[in-house]
Parts: sequence; structure tokens; C-alpha cells
Amino acid sequence: MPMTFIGKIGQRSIVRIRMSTHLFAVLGSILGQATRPRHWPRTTRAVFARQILFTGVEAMPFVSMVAFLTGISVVVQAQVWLSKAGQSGLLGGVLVAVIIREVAPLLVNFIVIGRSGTAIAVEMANMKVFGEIKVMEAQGLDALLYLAIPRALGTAVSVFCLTIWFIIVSFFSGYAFGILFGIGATDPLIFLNTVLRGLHPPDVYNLLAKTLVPGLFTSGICIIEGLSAGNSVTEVPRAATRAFVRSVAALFIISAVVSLLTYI
Amino acid sequence: MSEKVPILEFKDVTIAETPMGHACMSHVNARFLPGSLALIRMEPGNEQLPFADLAEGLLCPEEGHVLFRGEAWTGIPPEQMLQQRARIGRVFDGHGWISNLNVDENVTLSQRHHTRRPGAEILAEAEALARAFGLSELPRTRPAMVSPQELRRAEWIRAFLGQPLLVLLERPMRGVPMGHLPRLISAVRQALSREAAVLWLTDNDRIEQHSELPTSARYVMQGFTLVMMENGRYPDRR
Repeated sequence: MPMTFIGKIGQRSIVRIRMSTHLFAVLGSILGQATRPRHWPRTTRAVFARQILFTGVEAMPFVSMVAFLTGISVVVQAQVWLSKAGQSGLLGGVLVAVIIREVAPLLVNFIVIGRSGTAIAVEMANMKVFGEIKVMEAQGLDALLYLAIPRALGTAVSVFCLTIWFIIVSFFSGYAFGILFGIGATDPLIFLNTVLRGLHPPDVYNLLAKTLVPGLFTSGICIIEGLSAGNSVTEVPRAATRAFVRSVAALFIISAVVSLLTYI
Repeated sequence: MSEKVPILEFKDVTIAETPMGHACMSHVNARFLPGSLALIRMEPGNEQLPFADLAEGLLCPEEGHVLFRGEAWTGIPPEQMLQQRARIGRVFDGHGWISNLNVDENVTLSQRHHTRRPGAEILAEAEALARAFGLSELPRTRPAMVSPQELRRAEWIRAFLGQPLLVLLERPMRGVPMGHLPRLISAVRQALSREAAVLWLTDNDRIEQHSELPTSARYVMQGFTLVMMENGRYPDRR
């Protein structure tokens, strides 16, 4: 019997709920193990360090470039328009609202999804397709402990660190170009003081939530999508595409929810 | 004197064909004792036998039980199951490598994961095995960059590293010149002297009839069931 329109909606909803439940179960297990790093075998620690190297350290040049250009366009513009409006005192608040609360976490998460998230999904899918998960399990290695935990935590830590770096570089470039064009404060301490005055405790919680949580979700989604690939090589790019789209969707949802919870 | 507990035992094991293409098995019974080498003959067209996967608890039989050191895999808690698998060495019939790790990292992975042995000690043991198997050194590149022949022998290293209780050799000579067979037999003998059990699956007559092979029992699949060879002959060969 052909399925009705409502039936199709229901079926899709059930699939989505199951996927979300699976994702939350995996993330719950990852967080549970994250609290016991002393129980991690040395292989897990090695993968964790390697993940931070790939996702965090190796992404620094690109993140620096994006942050530098963002600083020029956003920070300099904010200084120009606020000084024209005679509202230079609001500079700190505006920069915190734009750069620290929204732009930095969003752009860094985007970069990490594009650079590392898809790489994780492709790696997992290839491992599945070529039977490497079985090879691992045959040696008594737990996929959660060896594959998921170090990648998820490494990605989350990297997103947080890269965001901090992004903020520093963008403020530096904004300040430097402000001086170059004769706009804003020339004393770096005054500029720093203006920014810090605009920073409040909720901004710190917001920054933590918008970096660590999407980082965990990105890696969780990419691992699950990669491992859900079938036995054919053609499944690999499909898994990567699904992982990218779902990670981006999760990023925007988390970002919106965190903003609502923090500031409203 | 008490009877030795088998390291591996198949009790009335039945398994249907799996999506991975494994062959069916019906009511298989076999005991693999410490210090014994069992040779399992694979008939042409029936090479995909799930013995090794069943022996490691990676496949669950539909009927019957597979016991490792007296305990059924189905009754072992997951964490303990992983620990038990660490005591098993294996040469895989198919792709047996993690592609994004170097061969040396692959070979030592299980030991580094499950034991607290110093890395240098594990590597030294692996290097000694590499030399014993005729490799000048343990390859330190990705598996894709190593020749199939060397890769197969690197699998031997992994299978015997850390003195496993059970060694599963799925067509270990595939792609390796027969000149290297005595090296593998020597490693098998050493494993047997440590009271390990060795399961050797082969489709090669020359290996099967090799005079140096210290075989304790020979089996062949007859239809869907495993039959032990008696008096030097397979039951269906007259």
C-alpha cells in the first residue's frame, strides 16, 4: 500500500528522532569517558594529541588569515562608524557583540567543519568500507575509546583555542589598521581597555558554549555519518556531504539556542 | 591429571551466510587445546570461512556457542571481551590494516593499547620478529606504500607479537614465496611451546603436506560442517 503524505512525514520524523537519540547517546558516552582521562590508554591519548595537531595547530595559518581580514573589515568599520556617530564609548560593547559572541565562534566552527569534520567523516567511512573497523575490533580496540573520544574532544578543544586565537588576531589587525587610517585609539592599552569593558561573564559562558558544544557535535555527527557508510566506496562522498550539511545545521541551531539562553 | 581447558571450542555452531559473504556452517564441533596446531583445509569456492571471526567473538552464531578459554563469547561483558581479544593474534584473509597508521604503528597497536609495556620494548620485540621473518626492518610507512609480500609478513609479526594465547592464520602464505614458510613454521613452533593454540586456514596443498608442520589435527569443511581428517586422509577423498 503506498504511504500517505502524513505517513511519510511521520516516517521522516521517526528517522530524525532516532538519529538525534543516537547522536546524544554517543556524545553522552564521549563526555562520560572524557571525565576519566586517566583510564585512557596511551593510544587514545596519542590520537587526541594528533587530532589537536590536525584540527587546531595546522588550521592556525588559515584561521589567522580569516581573522586578520575580519579585523580589517569589522573592527575598523566599527571604529569608523561609531566615531562618526560620536559613540566611541560603545566600541567595546559592539566588538564583543559582533566578534566574540557571533563572528569568531561561527567562522572558526565553519572552518573546522570544512577542514576537519569532512576529513573525519571520510576517514571513518573509508575505515568502514575497507573493513578496518573490524580489524580494529579484532585486536580488542573499542571504536568509541579509540576513534570517537579523542577526535571529539580534540575537535572541541581545538575549536575553543582557535576561536580565542581568532579574537586576538582580529582585534590586533583591527587596531593596527585603525591606527594606519588614523581612526580610533592610538594607545593599545586604551583599545584593550575599551574591549574588556564591553566583556561580561555571560560573554565568557557564551564563548565556551559556542565553541565546545558545536565542536563536540561536529565530530559526533561526522563520526556517526562516516561509520554509517555501507560497504561501497561510492558511500564515502555521500557520507561526507551528509556530515557537512548536518554539522552546519547543528552549528546554527546550537548558536541560536546559546544566544537565546545567554542574552534573553 | 585434569584435562586441559581448550583455548577455543566450537560447540554445535551454526551460522547462516552473512552479508559480508561468509560461508554457511552447520553444527560445527571442534576443540583447540593449548599447544596444538589445527589445520583447516578450505575447499575451492568455500574460502570465506567465518572461523576466525567466530573465534574472536566478532560474529555471533545462530545456534551453539564459541568458547574462548572456557567462556562463551556471548556471556562475556563487552570490556572483558575486548581484553580477551587482545590475547588473540591474527593474520587476516582480507585487508588487515588501518590505512592512516604506519605499518609499525599498526603492528604494535594492540600491545600499546592493552598493555603498559614500554614502547621501546614492544618495538624491540616487533623488530626481532621482523628479522626472524626475513624482513630487514619493520616498515615505517603507510601500508599502501609497502609491497604485498612484505605486508603479509608484517601481519605475521602482529599475529605473534605479545605472545598471544591463540593465533589465527587465515591463508598466511598468500602472496608470500614458499621459501619463507620455514620461518612461519618456526614461529608457530615457538607459540606452541608456550602453550598457545594455532588455527591455520589454508587452501594450499604444499603447505598442508609440509613435513615440518607440527599439526595436531586436520580438518576440512564437508558441505556445511567441519570434519576431522582421520588416518592421513580427508573423509571424502578416496
